[in-house]
Amino acid sequence: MADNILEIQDLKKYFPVKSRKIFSRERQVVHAVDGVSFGIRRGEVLGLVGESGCGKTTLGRTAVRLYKPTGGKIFFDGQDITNASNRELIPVKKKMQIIFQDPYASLNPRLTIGDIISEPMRIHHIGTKAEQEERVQELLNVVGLKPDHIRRYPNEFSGGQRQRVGIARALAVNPSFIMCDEPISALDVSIQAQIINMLEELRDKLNLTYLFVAHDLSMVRHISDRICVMYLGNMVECGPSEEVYTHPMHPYTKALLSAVPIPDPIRTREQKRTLLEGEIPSPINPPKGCPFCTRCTCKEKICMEVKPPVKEVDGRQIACHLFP
Amino acid sequence: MYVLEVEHLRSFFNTENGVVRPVRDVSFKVEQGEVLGIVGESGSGKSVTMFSVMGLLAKNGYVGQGRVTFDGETLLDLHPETDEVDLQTLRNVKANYEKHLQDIRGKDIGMIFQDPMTYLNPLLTVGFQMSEGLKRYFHLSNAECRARNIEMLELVGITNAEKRLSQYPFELSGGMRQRIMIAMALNSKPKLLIADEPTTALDVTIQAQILELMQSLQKKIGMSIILITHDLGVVASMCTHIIIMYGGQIMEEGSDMDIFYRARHPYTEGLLNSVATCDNELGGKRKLEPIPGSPPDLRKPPQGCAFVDRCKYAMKICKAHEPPVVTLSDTHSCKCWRCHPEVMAMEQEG
Repeated sequence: MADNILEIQDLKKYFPVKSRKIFSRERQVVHAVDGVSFGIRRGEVLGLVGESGCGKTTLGRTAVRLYKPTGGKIFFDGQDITNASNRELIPVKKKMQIIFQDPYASLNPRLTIGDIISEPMRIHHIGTKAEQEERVQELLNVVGLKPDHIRRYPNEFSGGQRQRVGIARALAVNPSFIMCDEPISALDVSIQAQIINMLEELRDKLNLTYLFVAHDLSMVRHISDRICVMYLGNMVECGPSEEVYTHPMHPYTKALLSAVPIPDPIRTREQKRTLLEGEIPSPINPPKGCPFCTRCTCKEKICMEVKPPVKEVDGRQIACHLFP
Repeated sequence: MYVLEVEHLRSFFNTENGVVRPVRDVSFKVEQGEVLGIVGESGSGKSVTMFSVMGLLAKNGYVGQGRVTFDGETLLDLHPETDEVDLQTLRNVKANYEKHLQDIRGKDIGMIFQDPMTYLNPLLTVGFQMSEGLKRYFHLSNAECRARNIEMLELVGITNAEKRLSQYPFELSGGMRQRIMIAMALNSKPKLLIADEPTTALDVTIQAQILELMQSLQKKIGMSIILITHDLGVVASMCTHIIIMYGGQIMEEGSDMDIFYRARHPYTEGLLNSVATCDNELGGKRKLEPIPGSPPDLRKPPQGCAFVDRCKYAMKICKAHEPPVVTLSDTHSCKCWRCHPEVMAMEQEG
């Protein structure tokens, strides 16, 4: 555990939903994250992938304590932050920052770029005003924006430039860990590559660790050292990304990877597709056994009854009854 | 035989901040039974081109020039002599055109949009919405509509079709809604289906289902499809004829092989180099080469080539003059000075 910057154990996050019946006492809950464990090593990029509704964003947000977990444990830098109060979290959050999905919604339109980027420094009382301004200039340079952008407002910028501002803000307090919550999915294709390359360079230069949450499997493969595939609030497979992409083991990972279209006409026509039938079940009543059993092509009787435990197979974690 | 021919189309929006020109001289043809892919980033004009053709432009949007021929019949022929914009005339032209299209849209041309939730009426049942077109164009009775709707829903792979007809859109999942949009568009057996980013809002496993469905239906019914998308993977698996748009203009046009293996335009090249792929043979970890900069502001489009500010090969002439469309083969054409025979000869001389 010593070399893990972030470690989560059996993490659970349930959200209550309102019952339709006014006098009903029964409480329904959405099982957004249902017992996930993993660790992120220092300097590593862990990609967290899955389809919408699988709980990847909730898991990411709970891991950095934007949400209070329902169960399980979270350790950051060896410190238990599972039930830390907001006051106790302040010094922790200095080391862990977030880049959000939507660069249009995550920047305050009434603040200048300079104010936005220096806000984390003001919150954590770092430096004098002059030092903060100097740092902002330095950060603008790091993320490829011009020094005179400091007095402008977010509405004057394009999506890609706004995301650069979001990244500069995350870097302002010199964090060691950044949670990237779908940082590129709102951007154009030609801009996505710019941001991904920049995130990679920053990681090497500043020795950062990323938890990279995304649904674009191709981009995740590109940036991640390890990937963790989620389905219906559960982790189904987790391992070194090259190995998982070349030899997926879990039936869901196989189907998911085969569904990604390849940008090459000849290769894509040779591609063997495993078409999944149906859709993701509701996380309010997840299936009793394996969460994937309703759509799995190789299910057996046990899959419908017993939830498969996470097993270590060839250096990866897999939750499937097919593997002894 | 061409289903749709569009020639020299120009559209503009009249906004508070001046005139925006999202479509600047676009021409293309769609052959019977082919799948045409229109690729471009947001703001490249790909959707506005189709909206202009379909007469679905917003209130402040006008077609300024162009000729549209559908199935041999010329629907629009507008060639103003001067560049000056006479809004009143254009308003009349637009109203006439839209009236004309009322008999074609939804009957001979079907449309699927990106976000099915915003295009389905939340207050009406699925069955009611599906029947509207049938009643209007084919004067079917309620019972006939119902039978046809059930048949269509089963065709697009929706189970429990009868029950679905009486449900409302919010009761269905995203993939299911998109299937209903497709069923609705195909209900009248159109000759042309326009799909504007049909799978962008969907997950990959559902996307694979929908693309497979569109492909098999296209073969079964024999219609043409125009697929508008920004995803090169989707284009590679679906289209045989591809148009690359940028800054309101067609940059390169060709067959799938031309575009993916013999791309000549620097923008196409840049796009292909900036996408990551999951494929094991093509290498998942190859270095991405992004295109620097960002797309041009269409309120003040650059004087020369639209791509000049981001192009790594830009020459003096690119800034001053708009490049001509150079034909490279029967299927392949490219709007770039580097493909011009004289420039190529000069480059060879050194």
